[in-house]
Amino acid sequence: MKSRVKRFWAGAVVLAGLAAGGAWVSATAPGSAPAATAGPPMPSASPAIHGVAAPALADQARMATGRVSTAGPAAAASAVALTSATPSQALRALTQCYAADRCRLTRGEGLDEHFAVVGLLLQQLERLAAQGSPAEQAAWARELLAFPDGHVQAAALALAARLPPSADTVAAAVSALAKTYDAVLLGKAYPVLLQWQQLGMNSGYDDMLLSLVHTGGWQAAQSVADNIRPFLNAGNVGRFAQVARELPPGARQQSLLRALRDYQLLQQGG
Amino acid sequence: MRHLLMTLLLAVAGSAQAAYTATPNDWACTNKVGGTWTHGRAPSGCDASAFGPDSFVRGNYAGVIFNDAATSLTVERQRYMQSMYPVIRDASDRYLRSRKPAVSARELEAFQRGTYALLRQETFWSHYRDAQLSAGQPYVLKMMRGDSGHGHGMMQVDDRYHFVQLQEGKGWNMMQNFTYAIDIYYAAWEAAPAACLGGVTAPTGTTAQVDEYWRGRARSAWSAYNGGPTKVCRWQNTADANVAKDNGYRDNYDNRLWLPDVANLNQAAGIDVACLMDNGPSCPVPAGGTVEAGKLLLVGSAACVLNGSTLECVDDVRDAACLAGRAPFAEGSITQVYVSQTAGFSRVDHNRHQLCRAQVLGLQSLASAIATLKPLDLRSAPDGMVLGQAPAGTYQVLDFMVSGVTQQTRLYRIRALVNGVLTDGWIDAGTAATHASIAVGAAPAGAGVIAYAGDWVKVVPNLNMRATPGGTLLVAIPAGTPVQVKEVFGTASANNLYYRLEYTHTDGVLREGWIFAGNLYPSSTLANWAVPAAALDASKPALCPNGTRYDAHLRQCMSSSQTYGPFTAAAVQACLDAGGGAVCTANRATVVEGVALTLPIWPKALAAAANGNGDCPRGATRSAAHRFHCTEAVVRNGTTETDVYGPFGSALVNACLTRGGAPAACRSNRWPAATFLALQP
Repeated sequence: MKSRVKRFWAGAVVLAGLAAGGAWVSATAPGSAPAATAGPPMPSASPAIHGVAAPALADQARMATGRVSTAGPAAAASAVALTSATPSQALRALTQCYAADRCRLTRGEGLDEHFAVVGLLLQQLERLAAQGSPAEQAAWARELLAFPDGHVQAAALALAARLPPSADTVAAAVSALAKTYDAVLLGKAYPVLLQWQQLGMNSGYDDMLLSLVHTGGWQAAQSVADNIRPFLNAGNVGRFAQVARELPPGARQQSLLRALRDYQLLQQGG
Repeated sequence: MRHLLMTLLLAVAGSAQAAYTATPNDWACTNKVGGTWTHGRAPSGCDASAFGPDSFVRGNYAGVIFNDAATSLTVERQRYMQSMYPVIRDASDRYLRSRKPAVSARELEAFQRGTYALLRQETFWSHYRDAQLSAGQPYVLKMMRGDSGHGHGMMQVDDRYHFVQLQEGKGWNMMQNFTYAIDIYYAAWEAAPAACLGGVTAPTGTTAQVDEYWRGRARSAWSAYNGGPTKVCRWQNTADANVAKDNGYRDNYDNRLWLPDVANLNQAAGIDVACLMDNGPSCPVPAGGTVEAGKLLLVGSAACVLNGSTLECVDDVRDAACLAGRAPFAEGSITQVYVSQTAGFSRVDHNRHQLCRAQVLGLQSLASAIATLKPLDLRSAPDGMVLGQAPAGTYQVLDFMVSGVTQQTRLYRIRALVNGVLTDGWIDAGTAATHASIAVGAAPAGAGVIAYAGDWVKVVPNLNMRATPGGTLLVAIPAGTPVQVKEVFGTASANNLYYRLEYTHTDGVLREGWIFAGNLYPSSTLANWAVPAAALDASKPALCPNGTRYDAHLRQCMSSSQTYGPFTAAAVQACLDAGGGAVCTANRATVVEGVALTLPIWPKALAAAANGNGDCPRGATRSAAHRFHCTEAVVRNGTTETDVYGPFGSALVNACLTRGGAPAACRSNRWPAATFLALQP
């Protein structure tokens, strides 16, 4: 259906910055102000990279994005640049160019660009998990929990779950989940949230879960209603009961009421 | 021009499944057909059956399937759109009110208009279509597939980024396709004011200014739907590579290009929109009516039939087929009645676990073990996509469903190893005519998700032990106590689980009773109640003759070919009536734990027929006065006596022996009520 015009893309402006040595790429911890934004227009790639490694790199770009690449040599060069930069540098470059809409990994049709960036972010998150310091990992996990893509958020959450828990990380997760409509992400989040809850780090859970089940995304709200039971306690059960009364009749209300009954039953010992 | 517009049959933004799945073009697309750029017939279509049975679509989506076989495609297009419009109108209304309970009428109108434009832009409102591969071929149910087959359904959910969800029916099931994807549109709808509309959320000004504002919201939402979260203001950039698409959406929105095919904007929807949005497994169109025999009645969330002057009900419409044995009714429609209309009728609320088993010969009970006799498709839902094949083997029944009053197709939820991953899913275990060659009751093989009879569990909190499931409190078992499960009993559509135990409390008194053990779905709560534990001793949940095992589902001891009594008087009579002859009444010598006793021993098939498929053997019923054992009233020597049927576990048998019970009688699976009650403090 899409008109798959075959042409090379001469962009990859920001990522090419890495290929050129990363002079303008921030090496600071995530969350801090970018050292530079887009930077000056850079050459698309060095001749050496083009000449020597382009075919293999194109494959690498395909692997990263999972698509038949419509990007040209510059993007391929960017892929190599990403692998030669530290994971933090690469992630910073990607998040910055994504925010500024300047990654130009594809010719920009539909969601191609978004998916391409997501693929590279996931790749770099894997590298970070293997190579980054705990502090770097925690900082990136917190930052990427807010990235507007469920795949990236899930990877960030998985990274966060492997790290020593911190109130900041929990807060970042709660803030991100409060805004999600992604039931799959939530499904991955419940075990992590429970893990933190067992450590007493459940600040913000109630408001987040109440908001989701009450007025959250359709699938997300149903997911919370289906999985709320372990998060019910004496302090919040009244609020969830109130929401259950306010919900319109339907599967979500039934699930929430069932969870509330189950909670009461458990309190009574069955 | 329209071809240009259709360059936007696009993916929707990513969600959190395990990242990208490199599906090829036209993945799971068989018998692909083309189409035209008109409402209901956008290219392309692939067999819908790849993702779920056509019977579900035809049973729940009648009227919103485009029929290519129609004499006039123009007339058919108008009919189709007249059916689709109320569906989308009601679905978008229900959706937005759930997100914004106090939404203004003006915002709702704009959101709906934006949604209509989205559908027009993505797929020309196309989803289901009966189409033929080529002239002379049969018409087969297709579903909309765009973007080289990657876009699924009218909302064009991309299989490369939503692979898991599409397997769960988020592409195939039309209202699931809608609810899944409209979340993405709504997220951008909400992001638009801050991103590109100056932070305004409640516009003021002239009517034209307010209209322009809502138009901007819709255009923003679609730009992001099409291009990703950062592209919410893309439509404002006339130099963007996607300007043609953004303008296409604008034209759809401005000119309401769907309207020429919709004559009546107020017509009622012809399908049960709410039920299907809630992912209901069966959503026949409810029609208001009166309480009368021959109809399936929807009373609240319960399904009922009228049997004489009694309403017989189950708590979920998915079990309606099990009511057919109580009173016949017409399938294919359901009559919604108010509770107040049922005031003049008595009402029986059946436990699905007892009713379905009693009505559906061969249906296996929750938590029992089945042996599948050949590899079977494992589906994500009863009507879901095939996840893989569950090899022939032994599985535990984690849920069940019966479909079709006559066919009685039995579906089981099991956990099977598929492609190396333990996966929960549904198998079709055949109809009344075929089930015996597909899946049969079996001995457990390995640990179950739910405890089997004989398994040990540790109670998690202090748990109440009750005389019957949910009944009179006997004693509280301290948290952490290991106990042996003797029997599993399920109640209600939530599959509430109860375990029968023999438990000696800290007061030294042996009691038999029930604990609540949680439920499995929609999410498992078993771990809150009781978790697997190592055996404390060699206690048995029931005693059986040498060389036999106790079958918890059939409540009898059995060898590979024989079933061991005692049998109820009613079963004996049934055995005789079936021509069983002398074997029905003969007692044969056997040995139970070294003690000789005599029991009737019947061929398994004969025993199965004589016992029936009830929760209790033929003639027996659960008795609240006897710890919820199956009991039968029998007349012996002119006196009515009550027999209590097991299982009687090691502790009860030992108590029976300690009290001077006869060694053989105590080891039997049938006790006089007086003997039983004497052991129940």
